[in-house]
Amino acid sequence: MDTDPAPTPKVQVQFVTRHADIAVPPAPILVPTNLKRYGLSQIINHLLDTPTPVPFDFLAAGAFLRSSLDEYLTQHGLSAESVVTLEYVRAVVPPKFRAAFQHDDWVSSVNTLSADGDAPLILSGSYDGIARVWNISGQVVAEASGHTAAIKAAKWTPNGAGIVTAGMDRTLRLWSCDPESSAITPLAELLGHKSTVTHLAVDPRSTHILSASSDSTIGLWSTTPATPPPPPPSSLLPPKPSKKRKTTSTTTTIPRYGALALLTGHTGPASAVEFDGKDATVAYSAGWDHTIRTWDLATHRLVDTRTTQHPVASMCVLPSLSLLAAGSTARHITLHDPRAGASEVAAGVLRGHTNCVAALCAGGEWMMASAGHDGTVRVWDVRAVGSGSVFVVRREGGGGEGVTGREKVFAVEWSGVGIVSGGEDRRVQINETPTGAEGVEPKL
Amino acid sequence: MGRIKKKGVAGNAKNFITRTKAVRKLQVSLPDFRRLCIFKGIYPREPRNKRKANKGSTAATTFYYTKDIQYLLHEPVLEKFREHKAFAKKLNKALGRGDYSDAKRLETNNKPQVKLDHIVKERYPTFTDALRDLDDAVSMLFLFANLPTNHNLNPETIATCERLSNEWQHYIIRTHSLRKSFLSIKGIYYQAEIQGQEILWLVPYKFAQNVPADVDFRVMGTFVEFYSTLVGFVLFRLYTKEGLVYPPKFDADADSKGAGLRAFSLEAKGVGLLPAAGNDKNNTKAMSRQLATLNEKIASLEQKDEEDPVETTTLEEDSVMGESTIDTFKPVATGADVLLQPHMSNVGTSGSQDPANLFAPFTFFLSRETPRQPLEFLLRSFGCKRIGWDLVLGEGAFTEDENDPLITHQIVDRPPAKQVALPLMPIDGDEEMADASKVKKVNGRIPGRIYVQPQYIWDCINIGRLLSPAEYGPGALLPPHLSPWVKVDEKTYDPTAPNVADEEMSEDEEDDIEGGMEVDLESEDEEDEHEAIEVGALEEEEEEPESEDEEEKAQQEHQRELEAEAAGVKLPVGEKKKKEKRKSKQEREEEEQKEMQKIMMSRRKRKLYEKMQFSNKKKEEEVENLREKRRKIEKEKKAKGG
Amino acid sequence: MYPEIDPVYDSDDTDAGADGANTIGNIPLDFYDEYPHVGYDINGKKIMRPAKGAALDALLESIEVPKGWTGVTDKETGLGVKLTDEELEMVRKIQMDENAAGYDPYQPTVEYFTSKTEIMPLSAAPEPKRRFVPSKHEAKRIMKIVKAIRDGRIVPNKPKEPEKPSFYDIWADELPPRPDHIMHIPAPKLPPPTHDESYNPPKEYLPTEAERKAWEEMDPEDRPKDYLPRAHSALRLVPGFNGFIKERFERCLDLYLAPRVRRNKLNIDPESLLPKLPSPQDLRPFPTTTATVYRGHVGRVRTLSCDPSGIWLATGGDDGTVRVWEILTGREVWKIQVGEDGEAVNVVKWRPGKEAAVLAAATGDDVFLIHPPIFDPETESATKDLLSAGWGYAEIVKKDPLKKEPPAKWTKPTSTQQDSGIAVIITTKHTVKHISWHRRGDYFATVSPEGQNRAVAIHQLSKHNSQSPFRKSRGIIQRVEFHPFRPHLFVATQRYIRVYDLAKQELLKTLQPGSRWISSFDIHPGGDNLIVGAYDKRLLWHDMDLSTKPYKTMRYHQKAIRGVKYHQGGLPLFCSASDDGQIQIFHGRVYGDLMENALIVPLKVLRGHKVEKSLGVLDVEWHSRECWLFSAGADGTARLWN
Repeated sequence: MDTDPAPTPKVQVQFVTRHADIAVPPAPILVPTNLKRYGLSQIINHLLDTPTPVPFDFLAAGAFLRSSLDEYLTQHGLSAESVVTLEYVRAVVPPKFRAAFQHDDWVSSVNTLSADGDAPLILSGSYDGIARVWNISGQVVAEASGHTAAIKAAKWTPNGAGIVTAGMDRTLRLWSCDPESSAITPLAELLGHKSTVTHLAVDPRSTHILSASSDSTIGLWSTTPATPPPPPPSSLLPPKPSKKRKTTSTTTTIPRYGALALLTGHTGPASAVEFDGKDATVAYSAGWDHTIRTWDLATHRLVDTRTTQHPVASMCVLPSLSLLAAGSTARHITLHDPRAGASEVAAGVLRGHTNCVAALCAGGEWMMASAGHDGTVRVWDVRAVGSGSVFVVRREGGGGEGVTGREKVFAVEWSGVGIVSGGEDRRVQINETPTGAEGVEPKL
Repeated sequence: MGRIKKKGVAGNAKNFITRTKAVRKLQVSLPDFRRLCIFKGIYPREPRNKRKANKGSTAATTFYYTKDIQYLLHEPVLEKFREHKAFAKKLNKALGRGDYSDAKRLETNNKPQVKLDHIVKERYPTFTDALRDLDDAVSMLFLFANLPTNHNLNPETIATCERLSNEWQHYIIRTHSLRKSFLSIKGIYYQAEIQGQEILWLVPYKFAQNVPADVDFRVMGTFVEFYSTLVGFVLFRLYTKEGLVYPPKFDADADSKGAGLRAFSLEAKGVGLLPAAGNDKNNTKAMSRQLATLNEKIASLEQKDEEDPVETTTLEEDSVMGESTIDTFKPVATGADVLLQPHMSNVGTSGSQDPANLFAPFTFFLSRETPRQPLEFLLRSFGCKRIGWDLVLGEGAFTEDENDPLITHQIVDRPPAKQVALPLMPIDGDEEMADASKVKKVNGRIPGRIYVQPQYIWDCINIGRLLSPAEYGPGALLPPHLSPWVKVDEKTYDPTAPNVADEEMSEDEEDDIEGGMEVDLESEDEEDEHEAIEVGALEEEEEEPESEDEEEKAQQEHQRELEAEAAGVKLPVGEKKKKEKRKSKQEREEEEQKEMQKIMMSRRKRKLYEKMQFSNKKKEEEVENLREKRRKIEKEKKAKGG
Repeated sequence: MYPEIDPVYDSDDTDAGADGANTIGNIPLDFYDEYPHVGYDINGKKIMRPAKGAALDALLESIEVPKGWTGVTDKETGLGVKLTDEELEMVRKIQMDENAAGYDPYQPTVEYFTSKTEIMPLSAAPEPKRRFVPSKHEAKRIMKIVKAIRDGRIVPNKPKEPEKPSFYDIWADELPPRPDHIMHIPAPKLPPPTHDESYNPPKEYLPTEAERKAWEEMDPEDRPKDYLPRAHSALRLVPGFNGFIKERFERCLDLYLAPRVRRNKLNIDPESLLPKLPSPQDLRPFPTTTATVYRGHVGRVRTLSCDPSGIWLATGGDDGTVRVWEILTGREVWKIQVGEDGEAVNVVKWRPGKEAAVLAAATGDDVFLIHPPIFDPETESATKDLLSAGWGYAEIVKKDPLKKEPPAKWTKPTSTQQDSGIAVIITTKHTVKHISWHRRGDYFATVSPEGQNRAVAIHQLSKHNSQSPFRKSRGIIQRVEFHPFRPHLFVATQRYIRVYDLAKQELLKTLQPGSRWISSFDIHPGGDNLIVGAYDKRLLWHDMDLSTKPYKTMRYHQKAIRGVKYHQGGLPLFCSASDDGQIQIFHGRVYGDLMENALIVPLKVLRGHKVEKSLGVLDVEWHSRECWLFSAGADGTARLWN
């Protein structure tokens, strides 16, 4: 190559991947060092001779390759002789804005129900105490009003039979929902928490609901009031009707139930709770007391306590990796392996948010979406711990009324519909991601 | 009335036990006892009262603390020793019988292995304790890493030491926790700071160590055995806290090719491990065709790679990182205390003024005569990423060819070629880079790069900023290399600060340089007028009453000094003599007083006092001696100059 | 010797029944000295002391010795002990270390189970075949093993590889560092090298010829240093140090052979005393950026307070409203208009203690005790009980006439106010500027600077009565605080801070910050330190054990300091808020032992509050647990810093 008038230096690159279907031979390939992501992607496409070019992203030493190979080498002081190992993954196409549903008040939680085939339904809980069911075209299908204070969490119960909501009035409410007739009827009111219920988790396999509350307890409830759980503690019933807010008229008629169990162990407000991806009798909860705790729901026992550096504001389970992602108020997301011993350090730290990470949601095998109080939703690839978020989804600050686009985002969900997020700007925003890439399977 | 105390049941008699007693009590042989003491870090004590401790005899014996020995009684390692004894018997029997296969089997299969984990834990209950005691451990490991294998140290030990010392260096590099280093005639001293603990270790130069006959390698071996365990655990902890996998991957053949540090590859605790690539054969066959056509594809790419749809993500990490660093406070008004603030950050934050990555922006090239390992270690741990060296120094370099355009600094240690110009400062710029490939050397130098001797690196590091490379050029007479650990106070001698004599020496020199004839004349008549001055001074002395108070005296001194200063000569010796004479009076009084006080002092106190006096005098003498020498040297230099 | 036992039914207790045996057990027999009897036999009959003959017949007895006479008397019965011949024989044998009588060591062995066939065998069964046929089962098993060995599944006496030392995190469950045992003397570190050890020292360090000679002929043992300073012009010329191994070895010997003694060091250099600055990592966490902005107040936010459970934040502002916010989201969950006709809320303070939720808010000269309806019914009822308990007492107090009228009047709110959450209204004479709760939550003190001697009023919740503790006023009182655990009250006037003992009703001490006008102060949870903010830009740290003068004075603010606060939740942080719109965060660590002074490190300047009408940050408060800081600004916002 030295005879060549303008010799482009070349470097040996070994392409590896975690997906068997797009694997290329491991033999190192000599490529010019001035190539960038695009060029490398071309090479892979050529090797796989894909009919339509599939964009690939390249990871070098746990970070996405954003510069040219040459710069990478000089940056890391690698000689041109050394063999560079590049892991390549299917690039995720940036999510693009699709729709926004306007609410009367802040949106505290979102949850989508994409029943097989037919149009998905989006459930949103709002600070005005009303949970709304939207269809994808933005009409309110049904409303569930009855909470005497702001709703903090709303979720579909398994297979969309009903809704469970919870909020600042310290109660959980079960609703039966029939989207066709747009009828939402209250089933039960679940009492037991002494303070704001901040987060809900519904298990698709069992009939259990978990709730995390600021009174530092984790509530375990049943979605089927047919099997009568214990009656609620009388002390928690609102003392006199006079004290109750005027909006609650139905509460007298609907039955009240207590919790199957209140799991105590957190020493500060509990902020998030999740079922284990594989085992329905294992649950994880996180709280402001810096801990992530593992619970055995069969025996209502605290199994393990993992202490982190900062208060944990949100958490989600990455089932395929059996990892826990915990979003802290200190602006970063830490990945924990609940199985590993207590001495194990966090498997990784994702930095990028500039404010408290309010919500997390796993999407696909390696990807994750996070909502922050800095007004952004960020998409992460846990393989690239080194480089920050893959994409940043900002709020579509349309329609004036003092919406600056920096409002906090309180909730995010990544499902078949795409990335659904809601926040202080009183709107549910949907950014659709092509589900083909990274195989984002519809959740629930 | 109190009960009569029995002798020998309490105090020294009970607390201390002689070594023979201890050995008998533990029922081990003396060598085993020694090993045990080394492992457990048990050391002899000096009882307050030997007679009490040793039943009235004052013979020279070594005492141990009884509790220590009791503590040893139920020690797993002791058990192991006993097992080993039994094993040795068996082995001997087998050998005596002459069935060597049997002996071999025994040797391989049931040789008792001593484990030291629990000892590490009990000797160092907290991690900081372990760090605090790491000096000797690390030095020892580095020494052994550089020793040749011989009959009494087996290659495994040395390999272990090598591995551990490399891992240690890797950690230091990774965390930028190296602080100081010093080139001594013994070897190279390094000092790192880990979690607030300062660790100082010494690495010998790369030479064949001569092994003295009177060195007992069993003792050192025992120490190394413990230290390697200790350092292993410490490293594990440090690596895990860094989020790294311990032990790091070790590439044997790279090591054989002398890659040194590069033989190790640190890997962060990522998410999920990569599968072994190329697990499925079927599609590899399918791809051979593609591979064949790959080259022209690449060729085609090279042109059209310019229009690259580059999508970038906004990364606020650094801003986030920046937030959690601390601000510097400066008082807005006077009359307030200034509070200290930590300046040096362990994590390598960008910014050249941060000593943690002093050499980050540069590319170094080590000539073949320079010591590679220390230089590589230093440069890397102070942020330099790109270090090249000649292939004879081993592989793993960033670049092997000396005229790589990227190189900004080259470290040379060979005598300069003829007609060497002063090292050129880098006229950095792109055109430089562009045509650097076909640049030709001017008198053995490549323009646009700085040539320095190795000491430059050390001095920069110790000062904490980049020095001007001018006086470190090849063949230049290097400035003295000073130890960074000598604290300068008025007592100690500071070679950097010129004392009075030297100052006006230099002035004179200047005079001479610029000067001509009359300057000398001046100086001559200066001489005699200065005599006059002195005479005057003497007279003053006479007139002075003995009872003159201090500040007046001081004033006189001052004045005299000034005059002499003006005259441009140092205080004449005669005056000094005079002073002594005058001093002697007060001195006598003082001595008398001292005597009185001494008599008043208790015996122990007096001893102590005298000792202190002795040591102080010794120190002063040394300092004075140094000053004297320096004066002489300066004088010589002047003579040469004049 | 006792008779042989014949093994028949209930033949065991052999000698208990023997009559005449004394049954008193082992009590000293001299108890019975003054009685005629010496005890009781088994039937409870007294055993009479046998008549002692006169000395004469004793003598006679001794002359002609009766059979088996021993001269020993049985204490229990008082009779003489007689021994039979065989008993004597046994005694003799025992004395001679022979076998006891009646035992024949050489008796013939009786072969019970022998191979010789009995005449009457126990079973007539013939010897089974398996006794003499080799077992198939065993053969099978052996074959298995043989096969395994053949195809190498089992390798007979395979040498097991020496297991690698497996490292793990020993210090995972690290104990808190405990103070060293007095007898534990850590090995002294080797001193760092000095200048003369350099490979290129200053010239004056080089030895002269005389010195060199002296050094060489000195005996190697008593050389002061084991090397001579040498100068090398270049690094490549430095030879290996051939004393290296020896030096190391000697260090090893010192480590385990040299007796260690603790010497009380005389000249302790001051550096060693002052604490080492922690690295920035150790200083974390501390707030760095704005996390939440609480918008909604019209006009200034004057005051804020974070509730004991750490979920809600209460603020009060110029618009006369008290608002309660959700901390993280910044959502206003509840608000109430207390200050009628836009009277500003000067101070809000939550009552400490989680069992009830009481918020004290002061506007003008009224203090409102509020229970916001955001808590669960249990707490709510508890709160109501707590607040309404005192009405009864209040009546009683009203009754007696000779009680001088209290500094404040407790009145029931109107029903509408009650519905909105107000439980009690306390009306004082002057505008209340500051409220401070006692930690138990039963008392709280209000400060109204105008009222001279009624400036401070202490209100008791359980009795609904108020009293003003001070007869006469000593300057305009700014703030009062309760000591975190002692019954002390800190009262800050413009110049001084006085500490009163509430139990003894006396003045303990007077602190003199030396500033012209104290704005606010806070007490360290440890109780011995105190920070004072002053309108003349000063921030002063008082160590009350040290002196009444400030320990440190910090002047980092451009404008007057409005508020200072310690972190009460265990983090070593404190902050100062100023009119220049800045909040400054400091690391203030107080050490347990009194020897060590507090360590103060400036950390961060928080900018964000806008300055309006030369007013910046009006109030600050820390979260009860986390390193979260709340600040109330004149720009109408409150902020959470994280």
